[in-house]
Amino acid sequence: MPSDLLTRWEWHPVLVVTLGVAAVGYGAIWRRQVARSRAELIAWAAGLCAVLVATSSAIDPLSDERLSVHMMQHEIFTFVAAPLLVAGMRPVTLALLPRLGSPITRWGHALTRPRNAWLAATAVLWAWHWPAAYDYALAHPAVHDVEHATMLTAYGLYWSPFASFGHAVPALRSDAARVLYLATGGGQSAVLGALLAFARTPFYDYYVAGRAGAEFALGDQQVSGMIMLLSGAVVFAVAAMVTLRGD
Amino acid sequence: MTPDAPTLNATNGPVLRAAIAYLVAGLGTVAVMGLLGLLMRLDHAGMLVVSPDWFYRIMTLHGAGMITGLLFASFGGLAAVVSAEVRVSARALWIGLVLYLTAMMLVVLAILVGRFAAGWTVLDPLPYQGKTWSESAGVAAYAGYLVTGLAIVVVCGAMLRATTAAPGGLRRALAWDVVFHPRRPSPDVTHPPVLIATVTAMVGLVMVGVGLVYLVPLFLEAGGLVHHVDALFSKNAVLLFGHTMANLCVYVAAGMVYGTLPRYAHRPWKTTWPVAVAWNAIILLIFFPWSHHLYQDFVQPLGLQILGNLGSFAGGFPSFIVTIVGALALVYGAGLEWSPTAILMLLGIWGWAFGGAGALLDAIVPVNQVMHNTMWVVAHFHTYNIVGVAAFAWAYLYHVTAELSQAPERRLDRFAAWLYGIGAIGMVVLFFLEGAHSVPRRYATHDPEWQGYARAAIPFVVLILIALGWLGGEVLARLGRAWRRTRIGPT
Repeated sequence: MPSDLLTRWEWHPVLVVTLGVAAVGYGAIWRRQVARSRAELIAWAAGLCAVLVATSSAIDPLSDERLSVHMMQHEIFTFVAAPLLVAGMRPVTLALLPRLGSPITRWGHALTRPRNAWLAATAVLWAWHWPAAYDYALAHPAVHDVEHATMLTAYGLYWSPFASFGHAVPALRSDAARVLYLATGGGQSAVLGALLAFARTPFYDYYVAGRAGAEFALGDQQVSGMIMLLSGAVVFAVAAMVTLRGD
Repeated sequence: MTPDAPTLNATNGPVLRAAIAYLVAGLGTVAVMGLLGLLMRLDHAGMLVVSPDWFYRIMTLHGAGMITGLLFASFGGLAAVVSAEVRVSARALWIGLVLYLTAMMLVVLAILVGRFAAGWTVLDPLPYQGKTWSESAGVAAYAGYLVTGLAIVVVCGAMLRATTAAPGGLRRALAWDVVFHPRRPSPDVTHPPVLIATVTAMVGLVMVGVGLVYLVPLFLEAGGLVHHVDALFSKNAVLLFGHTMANLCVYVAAGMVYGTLPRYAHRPWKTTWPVAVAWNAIILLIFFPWSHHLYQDFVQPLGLQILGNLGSFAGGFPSFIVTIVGALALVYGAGLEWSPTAILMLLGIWGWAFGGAGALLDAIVPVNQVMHNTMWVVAHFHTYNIVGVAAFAWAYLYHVTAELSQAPERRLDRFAAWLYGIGAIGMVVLFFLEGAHSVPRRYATHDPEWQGYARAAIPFVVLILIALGWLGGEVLARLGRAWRRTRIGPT
């Protein structure tokens, strides 16, 4: 229930350990950096906290009952955690890239190219919102975890062209390119949001079969679509303010 | 600025790139909206059946898209013009563009996916309770209008900051030395485009404030926090915002004319006392005419009705008389280069004149009682916008890409400019004739006896589209080179 949002937490051991390792490991790498950036440390920590909130707070169990809460959970992964983790990623890439083999480095470069990153984020977002895939993930917890992991990763890729990762310049080299990237990225998620918000039938059987019934499921789907549509507009506008440079 | 001084140089390259993006995005939107206009005309002609559901969705999209497309294209052009003299923030322009694109996306999705079709009508139960759309679609559309307002704030804020940053601040930017001391001319007088950028930026910021006055209660209504927004209040607020925004388009676009036409006339366009006074007066006068849209609302206070009549005349005269007389004086006997740019800009001057005259007629109370709900009003604002503002913006885009790419303006392209003029004038004359014969506006279906006007108008609409295709092709062919030249300068 919404009143439980602040007090109801469920700790998943694997997740807690993973996030703990990510935090401690990052701290160790960050301390060894010559040019340490406190902003990067804060961004990384905030990104991990966002993942923790999305997966361990009452949002997670409530997302099984309400699509709108599930949408908020996805928004935390894609629009909060992913850009924050990317913003703090530079020390990790600087430390690990020399130790990784060239095939992995090549793949990394290829995946973070704007066109590929855009396609990956778009494909993952739309594929998981396909009703059959969405219902299957909701019915199978392990698949559901994969859904969240792929969304976090895909949107990590999406935001990565804005970061330098130790290169002299980021992949998006002009404001025109950044505007095009942001507008098309925002556009594709807005279309999906609009399809959910303005649909006249509920898309997901899992929620229709829930306790609240089909009518509630439709209204909740419309709310979730509006969350996606409007929050996307805000996020991409804020991203423009942060990343555009006047060049 | 001397008449032959370059407005485009390497130092303002980042602003020029943003300006080109505005012009291309804005005029691209206008072209698509023009195609939607053709669909509506085909429907009026009885040559294509568009359901009322789709007609009002198309009408809503056509109106919102045209006004914002023209406004942002004009903002881009004006930013390019003034960037030769003042430092406009390219970053702010790009942020404004992202906001504009975001707004457009919200409105387009609300209309095409959400079936929103309320136009600009905010009287309860609209805009939320339509027969074909949900409350969510209304909220999304109005969120789009809100983001448009934010984009205007960003752009106007950047313009105002740029023009007032120099010593002398706002006083100099508004040419008050010329206004208050006309006999003691300063050697460093503000040039008209900078004056216009300052005036329009101030108007834009106040206008968005007015927009918030009606948008905030509407959002509160959607959230269930207020029951119904007062109908008279919301109608006044929406027209004060919307009418001002529509008028602002031509004032912003006029800045491109003041900055560009002197180069083809080989004479400077000086900030004389009438020019300075007229443009300063616009800061206030632009906010008076809205009430002429409410003469038929019997509950509207009489004072506002009188203000609507007098304000429409007062608001129209200083700006377009000064600009029209100024433009004619500038080109008279000047050996004007009849390039496509000059042709379109002079066409635009006449569009502004005749569109404005149509509005002044409609602002006279007895005329308004007969004409306001007819196609006369459609005729007036199409003359103003398509013969006027759009011609200015196309002219400037053509000019800027030709100059930056160092490709001379082709003589053959003059034919496209004339073609545009013939098409646009033919189209609006038929709107005027429809209005004069009391054909009602905003009707999805026209009776057979009305259909002849639309049938006669269609060839003219097609001429416009051919001309725009031609000019658009020329612009696209030069765009890549022009874009690259912004990084190194044209000379």
